[in-house]
Amino acid sequence: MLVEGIGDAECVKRVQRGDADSFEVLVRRHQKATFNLVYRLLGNYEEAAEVAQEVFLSAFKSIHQFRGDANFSTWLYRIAFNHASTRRKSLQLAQQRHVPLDGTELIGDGDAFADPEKTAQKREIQHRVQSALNSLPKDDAAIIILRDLQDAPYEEVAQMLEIPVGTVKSRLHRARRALKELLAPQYCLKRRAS
Amino acid sequence: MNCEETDVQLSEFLDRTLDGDNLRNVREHLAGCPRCSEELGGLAECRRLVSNLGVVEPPVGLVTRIMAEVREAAHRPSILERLFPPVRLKRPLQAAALVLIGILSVYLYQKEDVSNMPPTPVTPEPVLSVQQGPTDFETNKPPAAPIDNPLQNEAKAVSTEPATAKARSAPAATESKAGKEENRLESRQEKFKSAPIPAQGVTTAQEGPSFPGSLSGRGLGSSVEALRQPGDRPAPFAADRLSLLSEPIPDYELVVRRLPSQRADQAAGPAGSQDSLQKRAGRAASKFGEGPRRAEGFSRGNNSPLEILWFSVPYDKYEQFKQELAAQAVVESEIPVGVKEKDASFIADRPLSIKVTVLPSAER
Repeated sequence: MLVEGIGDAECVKRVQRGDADSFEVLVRRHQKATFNLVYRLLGNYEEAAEVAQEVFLSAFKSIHQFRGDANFSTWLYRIAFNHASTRRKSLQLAQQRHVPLDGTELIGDGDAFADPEKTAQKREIQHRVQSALNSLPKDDAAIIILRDLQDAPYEEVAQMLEIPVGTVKSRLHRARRALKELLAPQYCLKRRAS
Repeated sequence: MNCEETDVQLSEFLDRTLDGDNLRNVREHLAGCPRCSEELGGLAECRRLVSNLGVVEPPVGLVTRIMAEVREAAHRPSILERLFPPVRLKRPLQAAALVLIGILSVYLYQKEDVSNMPPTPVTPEPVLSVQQGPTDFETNKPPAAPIDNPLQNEAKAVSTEPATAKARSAPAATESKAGKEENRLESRQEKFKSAPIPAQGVTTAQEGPSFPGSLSGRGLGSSVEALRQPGDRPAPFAADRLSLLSEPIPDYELVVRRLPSQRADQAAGPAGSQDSLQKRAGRAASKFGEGPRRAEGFSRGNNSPLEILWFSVPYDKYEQFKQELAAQAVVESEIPVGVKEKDASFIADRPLSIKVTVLPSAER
């Protein structure tokens, strides 16, 4: 029987004591954020689903190493980042990056009844942004995704990437400027059009 | 605050994490600098675009698949658990491995100990006694000198008869010296553990109490004369107690053939001889010839009896012994079985063990 009301720390203790069912609470609680982090890092939906599965399995196997020094989510995102980085490298996604433009997963806002023209335009923008993210180094992409997409605090980003907070700030600024340069044509066109 | 200093803090200004003087300075600079304001606008637009990517829904059934794998992994031993079995299995395995290693160590140590031993000439086997009985070499020469004649004791012909009553009848002095030699040889033999059959009783030549180690006058004649000794004497060796495994390896192995005249004399020998040399040697050879070497030699001889005699000769008297032996019979072959050049100094410290195989005369 799952107890959804308990915190991550209690769930982790139960899993560490051998209660594998308690791990399902953690999976249901963090699957979306974990999947999105992996997906934004990889840019491929199927690959992201597979890697997310590996991430949770790896977390379960190594949960005895989790000592509670950080949040479970931070620890889990670190595993996800490492798995995604490995997969991104192995698949040479730098050459094969693509975003499925006809999928509904890129919308994600539940605006199925919106104007088709606006929907198509939004998909186009998302495609360009995702392509720009995929063009960034994995550390820069991760720091932008964590900070601008998941609103993670500097401290959590620092713990997840295992770098100082000051480095997070400087690296975030550098990554944003790089992304702005990649999106500059799109941005200029929009400004001219407007 | 200039543009460069402001640019570094634009991201923090955008994230609203600046405070105090930094926030005020950046605001003042942005108010008067269109370039930095445009840069801030670009960063804000990027931030908005990323945040507008939205949250993507994971595939349906992801939780189910994850938990299926998790539950399977929970009931499956990990690689470490498979590599390192639990204590209840590990301890007996470790104990068994320890015992096995110990046994293997002892075995290898013993094996190496034996293999490292120098290839010394193999010990004259314990059971050696003087051949005294009548031989086919019987000639008109006078019988062997009395026992106390030192000239007769230059060489010791020995047989492999066990230490029975004959050993008890031997002189005490002879036994004492021969006993020392035997003890030394037995100790070496036990160390090497090469002889499966333990050393048997030792007896020495009846014709002399000991081997003096010097030759004069007739030299080795007494020993060689033993080939011609008539009369009752013990069998050359106790063939029924010998086997090829217990046969000592001599330093020299000589094969001699009786002279025809000796055979004639032997045929007309004393009637009191209870057991002729041929019969004894033939019986011994047939018994002794269980191995292929002796069996082959026996058949080639057309069932001719042969006799095997053992001598113990000082190293420096060997040539003289051989000469005297050649005077009594035809030396057909001389094989330095256990003698090597490098062992000469070692062998010089002890008497040579000589095996003489006496073949019947050629006229037979």
